[in-house]
Amino acid sequence: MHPTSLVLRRSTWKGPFFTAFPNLSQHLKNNTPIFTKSRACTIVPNFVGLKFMIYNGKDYLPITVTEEMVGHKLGEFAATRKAWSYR
Amino acid sequence: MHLLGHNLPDHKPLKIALLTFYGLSHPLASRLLARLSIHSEALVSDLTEPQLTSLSAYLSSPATTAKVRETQINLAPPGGRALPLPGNKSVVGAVNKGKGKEDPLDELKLETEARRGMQGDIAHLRMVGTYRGKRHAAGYPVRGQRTQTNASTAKKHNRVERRGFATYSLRPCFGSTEIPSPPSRSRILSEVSCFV
Repeated sequence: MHPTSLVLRRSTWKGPFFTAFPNLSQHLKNNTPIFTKSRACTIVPNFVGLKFMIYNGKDYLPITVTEEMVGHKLGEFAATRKAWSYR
Repeated sequence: MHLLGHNLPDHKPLKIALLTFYGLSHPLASRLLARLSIHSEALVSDLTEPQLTSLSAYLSSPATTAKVRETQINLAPPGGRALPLPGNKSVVGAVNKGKGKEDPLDELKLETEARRGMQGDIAHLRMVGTYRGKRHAAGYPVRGQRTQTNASTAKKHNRVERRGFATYSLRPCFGSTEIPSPPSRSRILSEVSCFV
């Protein structure tokens, strides 16, 4: 990890920024995806195993949260740019 | 002078010559000199034998060399009583506590270890599937810089198995060809646990 990310990060007393999704346990039990536009939401440990449909400005992209994703933001996993290539 | 496989030019200041070690930055190099009580402007040729041994002992294994012991600062004049200064009880303790106050020299990673850590971080980003990992893999700038022009530095360096260069001498290192391992689960959790 880059040292500045430890020094210049958000204050600890604020805690992480995350959206409180309703019915998390139900989504986990029924295996239904959560449609969300909150790309800035930090992935907290109790999201692990959930399915998200993350908005990228056009579509909702499917993401299954794994343990390694904890601490990243939801938006990091749904690219907003189209990968360019020659046809 | 040769030290641990690096050539330190004799005419350079030691704090500059130390930058040949990957992982030692300007501030860390001057910190290291202060810890070993070597003058900050000393040239490489000025080094005495005991200074050289302590330096190479630290550089060969930074984590295991003896740490600086905490000593209570005694403000009492000889034969007198201690001055009633506010906070004199634990001057050292107060300095050493708090965020960012740990000595970075205690857990410094050098050379191959530092490169492996850096490559592990990139491999983690790539494996998890983040946007940053994709940018590393594509060899483009990672932090939102423009790519229509410029971006030549990123195209030169950025890739998943990025080679690390020391700041002082841009010399490729052919020593580390192992596949980097992503950071362990416990490390990720410990970094995140302060949020939750």
